[in-house]
Amino acid sequence: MKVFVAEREVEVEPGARLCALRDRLKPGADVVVLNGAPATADRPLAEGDRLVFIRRGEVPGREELEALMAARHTPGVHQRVKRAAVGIAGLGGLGSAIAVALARVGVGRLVLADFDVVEPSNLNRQQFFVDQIGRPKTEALAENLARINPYVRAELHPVRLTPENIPGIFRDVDVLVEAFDRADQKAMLLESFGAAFPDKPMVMASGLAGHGSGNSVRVRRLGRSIHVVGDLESAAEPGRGLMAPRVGIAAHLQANTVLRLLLGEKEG
Amino acid sequence: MKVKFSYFAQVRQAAGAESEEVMLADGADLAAALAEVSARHGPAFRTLVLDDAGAIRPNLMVLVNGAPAAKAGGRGLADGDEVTVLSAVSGG
Repeated sequence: MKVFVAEREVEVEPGARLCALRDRLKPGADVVVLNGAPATADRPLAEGDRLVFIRRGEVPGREELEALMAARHTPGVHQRVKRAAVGIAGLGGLGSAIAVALARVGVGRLVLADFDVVEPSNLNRQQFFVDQIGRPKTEALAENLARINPYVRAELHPVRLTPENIPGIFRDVDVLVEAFDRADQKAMLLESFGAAFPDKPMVMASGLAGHGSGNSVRVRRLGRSIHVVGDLESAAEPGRGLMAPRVGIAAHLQANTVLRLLLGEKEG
Repeated sequence: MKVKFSYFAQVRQAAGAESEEVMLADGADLAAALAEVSARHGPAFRTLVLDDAGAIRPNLMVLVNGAPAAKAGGRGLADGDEVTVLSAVSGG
């Protein structure tokens, strides 16, 4: 029968057992991941099982790395999201965190757009570092993503998004993520992208400032293909700032919604 | 013509309803439709959806029949259309 080890097909005898295969292919491996979860005991293998054997602390070769990174995903997810392209409009607290999550899950191509540079007040919630202050956010984020997952292709657009350039920049994405700060820009993106691609899904955010209950941040589906994450009410304003925990909740709900859409599942 | 409006968040609070059906003049565009609805719900609602000149506010998000709608220069509404209205708020 066939099983997959680090995404490569391996022929094993019927009745073959996990530890015997480990000892044959990677003696001394102290982490075994079976079908997306750690395996802590020996067991018989089944047709189609997906396995990864890891020696803790050993840096894998480039060919093996991608399979090892995907080992904790649910089987089948990585292969599907690797083919996908996701656009992210705005690389602030939402956009930078969404990009990191989607890179970790292995989305194949990210189309990243932001005109701005990293500045100190961004660091309270955005996925940049002190030594990146002053650098274009597109460039700094691409550098960070490459350190996380070198297999993600990042297409960079260090420009201010307008109704004129939005259809061209995001023409071939499977899903577009709205991650702007300004409310009027959120609405502008909805209108501009929606006019060009009325049936392509968009995942937006509105209402995530402050430190109110995280439980009030949720996903709503509006119409055929628009999803809005947030409580819809908590605007960033004097007395209610933007902070990493709640912005992060919204960002990861957006990223999870993107993942679900890429996998053909309905959300909201 | 009869058009159904659905409201979210602040717009819903100002309208005092999640949704409603409104009779409008045939061919009314979105701005005219929202002006008509504003007349029913008062200044708090109007302030959320229209500016002083009667134009749709830049942060208003509007869907018609489930698809994002052009706020200016779009087609007129038709009998049976469903309009979804909510205000985007800042933060990201």
